[in-house]
Amino acid sequence: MRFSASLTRKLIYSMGILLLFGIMVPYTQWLEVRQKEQELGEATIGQVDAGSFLLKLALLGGFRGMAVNILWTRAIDLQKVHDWDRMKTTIDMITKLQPHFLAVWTYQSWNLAYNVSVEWDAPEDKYDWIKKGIQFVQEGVKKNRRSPDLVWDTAWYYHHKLGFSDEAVIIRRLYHDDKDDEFKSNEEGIVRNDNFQLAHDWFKRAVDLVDSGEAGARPATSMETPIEYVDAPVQHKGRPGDLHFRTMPAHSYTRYAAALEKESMKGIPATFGARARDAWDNALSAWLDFGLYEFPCHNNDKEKVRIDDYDNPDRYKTLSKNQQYWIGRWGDQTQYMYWKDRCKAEREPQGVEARRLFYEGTKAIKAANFPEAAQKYKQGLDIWDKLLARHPTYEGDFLNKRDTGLIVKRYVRALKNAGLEVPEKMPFKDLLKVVEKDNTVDPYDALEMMPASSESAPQAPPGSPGG
Amino acid sequence: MSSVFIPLFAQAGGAGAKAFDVALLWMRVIGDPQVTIGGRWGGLLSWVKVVALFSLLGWIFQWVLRAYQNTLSVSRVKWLDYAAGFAVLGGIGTALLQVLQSTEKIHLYPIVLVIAGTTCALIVAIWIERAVWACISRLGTRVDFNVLAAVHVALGLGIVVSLMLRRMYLRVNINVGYANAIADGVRYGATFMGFVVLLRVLTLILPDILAIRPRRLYAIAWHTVVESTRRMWAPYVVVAVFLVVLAFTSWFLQEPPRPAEYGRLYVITLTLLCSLLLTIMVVFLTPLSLPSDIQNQTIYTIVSKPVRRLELVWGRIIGFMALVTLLVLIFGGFSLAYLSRQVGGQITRTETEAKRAEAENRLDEAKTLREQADQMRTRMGARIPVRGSLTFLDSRAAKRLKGVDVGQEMQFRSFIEGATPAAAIWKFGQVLDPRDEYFQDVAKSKGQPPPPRSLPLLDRRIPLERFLVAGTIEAKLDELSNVEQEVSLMRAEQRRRSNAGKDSSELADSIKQKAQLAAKYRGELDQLKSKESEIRSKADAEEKAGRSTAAADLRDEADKLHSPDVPIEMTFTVYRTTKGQIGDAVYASLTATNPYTGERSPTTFPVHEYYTNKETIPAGLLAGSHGFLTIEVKCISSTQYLGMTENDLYVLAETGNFGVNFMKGLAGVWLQAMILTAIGVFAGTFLSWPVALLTTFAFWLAGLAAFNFLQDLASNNIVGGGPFESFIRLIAHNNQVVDLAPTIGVVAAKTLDSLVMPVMSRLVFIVPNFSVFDFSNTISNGFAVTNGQLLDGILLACGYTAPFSLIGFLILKNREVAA
Repeated sequence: MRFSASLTRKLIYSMGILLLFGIMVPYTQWLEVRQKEQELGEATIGQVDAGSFLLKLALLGGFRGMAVNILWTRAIDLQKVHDWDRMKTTIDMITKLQPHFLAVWTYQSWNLAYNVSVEWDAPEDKYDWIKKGIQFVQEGVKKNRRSPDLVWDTAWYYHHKLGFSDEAVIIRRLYHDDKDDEFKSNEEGIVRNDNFQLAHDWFKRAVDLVDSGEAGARPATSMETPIEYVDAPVQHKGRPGDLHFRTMPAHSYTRYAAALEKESMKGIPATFGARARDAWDNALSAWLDFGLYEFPCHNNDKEKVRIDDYDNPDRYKTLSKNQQYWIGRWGDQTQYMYWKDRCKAEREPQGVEARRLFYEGTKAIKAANFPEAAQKYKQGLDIWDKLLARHPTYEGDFLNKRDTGLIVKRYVRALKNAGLEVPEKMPFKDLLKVVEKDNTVDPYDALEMMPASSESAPQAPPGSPGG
Repeated sequence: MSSVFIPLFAQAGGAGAKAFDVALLWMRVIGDPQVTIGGRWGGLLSWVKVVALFSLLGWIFQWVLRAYQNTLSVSRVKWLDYAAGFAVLGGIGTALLQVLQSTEKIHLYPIVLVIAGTTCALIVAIWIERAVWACISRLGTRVDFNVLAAVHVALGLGIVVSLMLRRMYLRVNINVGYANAIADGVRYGATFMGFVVLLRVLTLILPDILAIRPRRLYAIAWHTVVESTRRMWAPYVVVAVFLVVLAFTSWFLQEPPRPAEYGRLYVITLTLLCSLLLTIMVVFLTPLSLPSDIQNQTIYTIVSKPVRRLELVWGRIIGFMALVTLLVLIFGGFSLAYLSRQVGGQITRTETEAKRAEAENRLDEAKTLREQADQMRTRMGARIPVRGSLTFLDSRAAKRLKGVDVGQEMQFRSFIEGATPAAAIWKFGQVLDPRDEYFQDVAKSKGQPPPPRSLPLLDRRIPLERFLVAGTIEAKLDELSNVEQEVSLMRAEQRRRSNAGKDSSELADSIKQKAQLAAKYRGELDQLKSKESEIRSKADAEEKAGRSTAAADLRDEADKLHSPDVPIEMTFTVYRTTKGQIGDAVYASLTATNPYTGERSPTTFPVHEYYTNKETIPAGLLAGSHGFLTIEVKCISSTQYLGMTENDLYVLAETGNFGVNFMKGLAGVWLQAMILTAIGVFAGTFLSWPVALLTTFAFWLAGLAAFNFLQDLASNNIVGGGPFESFIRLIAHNNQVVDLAPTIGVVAAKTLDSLVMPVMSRLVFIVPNFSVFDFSNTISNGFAVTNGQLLDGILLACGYTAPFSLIGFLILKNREVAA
């Protein structure tokens, strides 16, 4: 059989192609080894994305900046005309082009979770957009595993945006009911039904990342040439003196415990007993973690301080003047003593019991059952009085005074409505003056925020309280 | 100036001015390139004028070029050539002086510049005149000579028309001034000259057009198809790329932000993909075909056959378009299959999820999911909306053109305040433009006389035949109501006549007839109603007997006696001044009123922001409405605001087939490809293939990305000067609005800009506007591409294709292809 000239040519070409591919295999392997040595691979920085890789390839690297500029301007324009969905698609494209430029993830995830969500009227839609923002920054975490910033941002949205918005009681319930387990699980894959718990896990992850020394670009050893990253990951969070960075896991746990003891999710009753005590225990140990961490003094790196020593007179005495100064300053700054004492008080069985009685008192008021309300409040306040006597720091704090004062105020109201006399002597009576003009309601308690009809809202399936 | 003339024109016509004046004004409409009439005829007129002016330019250029090639004027009157050269330099100098004047470097009387500029222009004109005369008298035929003469007559006509118009304006106390009148006259004259040349061009082309034979066109077209497939493998490559990209779309498209957006994202991406692939294919294929034929000398075999050159051009275009058609069909088929799999699948999944949520007592979630599925379905249709015209009442119930501005960056929507008389009112029917209505009211309130002519009405009538199904109770009610209205009108007329002592016996007869008709309709209506109640009682009986299927069938039968409810769709935005009770929606009320019968249908609903809120009104409300309807929307929640714009509320006339609509959208892509094909073939007739390719590519890019910029350029809306000035700003890091110090560089740049900009701004007439052929937004939002839109697109595409292909033919005709 004779091959025609053109067929021969085609055969030669295809063999050439095959040969080139053949050479590519060992070459790629060699390249991968080098990548690993230098920690240059996409995979070391984060998850590899084929689409992102192809797009960057298609733009030949150099046009990337131009394309990103155009996309960024377009995203801003789309936001101006309220075309949210196309804006989201556009910023997704930006991250495909610049997956390791952290500011894009931070800025745009905030934009979605805060600025876009607020433009939507229905809480369901708001929740949807907050979730988009969180998922967006989580995508960033996947692609930049060593950045504590993005991990911290994720935690912050779970903590603050879901937990502190005006519609928090509805939005937290939406989170609770969300069937998207991936969105609700932490790094170990444990599903958390309360956003504060999950926020704690993410905050903790950021702290652990910093502590492991893996964060940010690994500094070059003296043996190798420093690596020049194209989009160098910059670390902002978790620098040595970043106190608040380390308080956040404890804050989230404290919030979780406090939220457990009220109807902080619309339609889901409060939880007390062992579960509440556990939550406060966890919060306390998170605060102790923070308190026992050794911070270098700002004016002297060699001198280390533990904020908890403020609460430990024996150790405190042994410290230098400078150390004592920084402990005092930072302890006040973070309100460490208040938080610690609060957790200690609330974790006691009497603490949880008093909270339960206050909650039931408020429920009775809502149901216009004033004699019962008065009784519950009285019982609760008696226990609370004895408990706080053992926790002077917590008792003396203004926030507590206000909280307790509001309960006393409600107690007096219940008494009056029940036609009973306000006793001459009762615990915390002096606090009534503090809250005389204070008519605010707790925005994170559906019992206070929502109209009475919220009771008729669909109830959570049995056996799934906030935990 | 045109803004002064248009109302004058309207008034002159309306006041019954002399036919001569009307003719004069028409001459102006025909002659002035900046003025036209409304509608499709206006577009056609503008197009003819632009083509005529370009023909004139081409004609002059051609004769001057021939004169230059034959060294005609150079050998005869040398001094004129020098004068023309100086005049060109003088023109540049004048531009420079103008710039210096505007930057206040020098102070001259403006008249100096005018005189200098005019003189230079005149000298150049004389030089051109001389060259054209010389050339035509030497080389031209008798016809060319006639054209030359006619061109001059046309110029004269323009000036005469302008002067006579001036006299006419003087009669209504508008003084235009001689200089302006002559300048206008030259402009009209130029257009008339263009018409003469266009006529000449048509006489050149017409014989060829008439000689076209479909058989030969077909042969060339088929040859083109075969060549493109065999030599370039174009269709295979394009289809392969399409399929590969389709297979990996998910790499580039992340999960859409909201499920409701699923369809939109995919539709836009797919249309974009089809459009890019097809246009790029055309850009590469078309400009290469003719030059390579000429280069390879394969053209010999064709031109030696009795094939006309026009057939060569048009046959090629037809061939390429056949290929494009085939590809559009393939792409459309694949895209629709892909969409139904992706989006259809997502809809089914969401609906299943909603059912599951409902079963698990997660009612809120179930509701959200169902709404999402519904939004997706809505977008995967082809809605035909009937839109009303929107006016507002403010918080004190005063009529307004707009509502409140709540301070959003882009003020598309204006807002009405909750729990006040503020309302947004959509009027359907034959209505005045809201602006006209508003200013008429203002004038009335000030005691000013009404405008001399009745203002034009917008036709926003609701197509009753779509909503009132023949044979139903509502349709009958409509007939009855119409007859009753006629009767009451005639009765009123009868009373008026008898009061005036006139004879009204003739009216009495028709009243009697109509009354009989009304009685007949009433009888039929009663019959229908009793039939319905009969069926319903039967259904109740069946239900009692426990045969629920039979009962449901009977109820369906009863329902068929009614026209279905009229769907109204709306999208409002919410602006809250306080949070209100959290979790509570802002409520709106909607009241539909039939202005003829006064019947009303009120409803209240929670507003779901950024979603399509759907409400219905009973079809019976439309009975006797003649297509007129008023819909009033108010915000009920106090301290909150509701935002809307005219397109936010419409009566949904029909939901068409999505597939058909999608293919209509691809027809837009097809039209883009047609224009590019014409440009590619045109470029191939006189350029070598690399240059032709670049030219076509430039047209494609400019039409795609730069048309808006060109439009701004043409309407002088560019901030920061022309290309040269912008360049200086760019390198000196000056923003667009900062004043530049008049250095030598800046003055030079501005001078160059003032010479370049007039030429550049004319590009807007040549570069095709591709964005108008892009229907992807309409389709992806679930609205139908109307036949009118499609027709506009076809006309526009022909407006580009015809001139390009014909110029290509003229060039090819005069070119020695087989040299």
